[in-house]
Amino acid sequence: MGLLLCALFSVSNNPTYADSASEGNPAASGVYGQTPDLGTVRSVSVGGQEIRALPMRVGNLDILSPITSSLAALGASASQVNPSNLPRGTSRSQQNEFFQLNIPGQRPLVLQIGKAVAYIDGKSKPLLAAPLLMKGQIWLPVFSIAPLLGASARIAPDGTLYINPTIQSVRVFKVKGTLTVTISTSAPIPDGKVLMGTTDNPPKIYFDFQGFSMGFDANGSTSQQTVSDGKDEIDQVRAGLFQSFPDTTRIVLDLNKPMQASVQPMPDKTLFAVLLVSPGTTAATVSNVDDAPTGSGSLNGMTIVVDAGHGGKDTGAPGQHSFEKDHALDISKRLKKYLQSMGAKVLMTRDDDTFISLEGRVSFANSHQANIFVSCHLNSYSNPQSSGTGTYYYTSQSKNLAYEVQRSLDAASGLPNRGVNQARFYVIRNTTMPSILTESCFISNPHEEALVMQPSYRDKLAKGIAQGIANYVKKYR
Amino acid sequence: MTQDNQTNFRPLPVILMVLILAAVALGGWWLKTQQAESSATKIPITSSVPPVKTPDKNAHSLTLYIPNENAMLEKHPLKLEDGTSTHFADLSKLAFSTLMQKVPYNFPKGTKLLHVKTGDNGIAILDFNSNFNDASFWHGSSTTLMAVYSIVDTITTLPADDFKAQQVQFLIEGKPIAVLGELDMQDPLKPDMQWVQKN
Repeated sequence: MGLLLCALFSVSNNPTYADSASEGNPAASGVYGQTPDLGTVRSVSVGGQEIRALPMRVGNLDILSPITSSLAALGASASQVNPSNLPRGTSRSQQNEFFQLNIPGQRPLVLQIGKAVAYIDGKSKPLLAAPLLMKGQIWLPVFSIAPLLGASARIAPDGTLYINPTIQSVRVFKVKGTLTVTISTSAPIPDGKVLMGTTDNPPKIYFDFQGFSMGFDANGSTSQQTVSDGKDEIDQVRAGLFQSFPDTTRIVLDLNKPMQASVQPMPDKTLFAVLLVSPGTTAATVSNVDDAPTGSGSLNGMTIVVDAGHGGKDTGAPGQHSFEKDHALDISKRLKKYLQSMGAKVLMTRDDDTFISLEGRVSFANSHQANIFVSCHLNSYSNPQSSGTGTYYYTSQSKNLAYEVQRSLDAASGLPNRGVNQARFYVIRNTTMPSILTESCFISNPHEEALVMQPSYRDKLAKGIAQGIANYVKKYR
Repeated sequence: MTQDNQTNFRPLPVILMVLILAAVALGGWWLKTQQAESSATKIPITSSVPPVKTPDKNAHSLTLYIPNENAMLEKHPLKLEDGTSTHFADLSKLAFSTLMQKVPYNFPKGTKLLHVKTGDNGIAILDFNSNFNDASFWHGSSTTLMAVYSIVDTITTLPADDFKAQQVQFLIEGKPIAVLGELDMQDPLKPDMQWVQKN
């Protein structure tokens, strides 16, 4: 009750909002740091869904509205704060003033009722107004929170406040003759909300993202990411707001020659991936009964490549009593079994003690157009005390997968958590699908080698990795 | 005695003292508020031309990024003696030979830095002898990352007076190298401070 009164007090004592400058151009407001014109707002649309009769009020320089239940359309959710995310110095009695907004693949956004500050990873960011608690609902400062969720907030001439997810980046890369374009968004793309079109002269392929606003300068973003040989097929990539209120963002690929585009199903729905091939080319297919799903579940329809590190003449890191290659293969085989039982088709780069080049592993995964690639390794270091599990990713499309697998692997292993890192390991840098490399433990650590020599422990590790993949698919599919 | 004290008590000076203290406290609070408001409304003035970072000709130390026992890098200053050449190639060789002395087990045995060259776009080209490419050494992501980024992070922060390295290309006896362990070495590596131990 005290908290509620405090919140109401802070609103009624801060009637500082007064800006009519944008009345003649109501659609112009919405950029973080500018004052929104509440006079024109009549309804709210979140992620393309109009919410009628949503209460709003002015709080300092922002619009407050109880939109926490609609955050899913922006790829976020609200929950009680995890105590480990609280800012330093927070007393136990203050904890119930905090809550957090969860954004997949990112550190949670921690907010405090009555305080115009957001905390991300312990660092504070000022808000235009404080979140409030009124009548049992959390009211969020819309224009402050939207950019922190990667969303845009703009007011249409008809008085609708549009809060939309945005296009975050466009990347073009070419591996072994396969040209892939990935477009990442700030929230999952609903089914049927991307339309593809082509023109022959000049050759172009475009994609309309309905309900998505612009979140970046696509040209600049793409030019940095395009590999040089991708320029043979693509002259440039453009992005623009094709239609406003409701928004549609169009991504255009200006081609140097006609190409066929095939949309690749992605487990992470914040990613839209397209393979570009010359007309008449067909994708390779495989069918092997050993790879087929053995059960049904959250991985139905997924093709996963499991890559057992090293093999043959490449022993991998030596322990005191064993080699990395043998544990990697055993964990990979167990991982395959678990993934198949959840409904996935699983292809292994090796299922015996064979040497395969890194290039061969990448080529295998890309040619089979897998949805996910996971490479299993054990770590090693000069100090035998170094310990723990870690997961690496390289491309931004792989980050969410890495976090989910590391969380689950960490829980399964019971070892120190070395976390998730971005690193340019060959197999995860050159594969076209979400790809990770796991280091389940340190074989150079005698205690951890003793653990991994136990079949039951290897089974635990495999189950942990499989569960992480399943969690990822469940969350982002 | 008690009665005397009660008789001698004079409320006026005490009240005055309390009022003065309250006024001082309020004044301090008001001043603080004004300062906060003025700083909040202050428009930051930035130069339209970003400052260009030039090498420090008077630099007396360089920073070595040395792998620690937890497979993370730690920053260690290396004091430069008077008269030490601050040419990029000389500083690079000094930095690498010091890394080899301090943590020889973090690099393949017999590794030598043969040549240092500079290229376009801030690329430093480090040419090592063939020992550096010993496949039996490059096992484990931590081993590889610590060895490679101790070099890259050190080289890209050298206070040379003739070249500022922004990325590092590795060669083995003059030839490009595709991978070290599992690491993709085909194109130059940029500094990566995520491997530096946070305190």
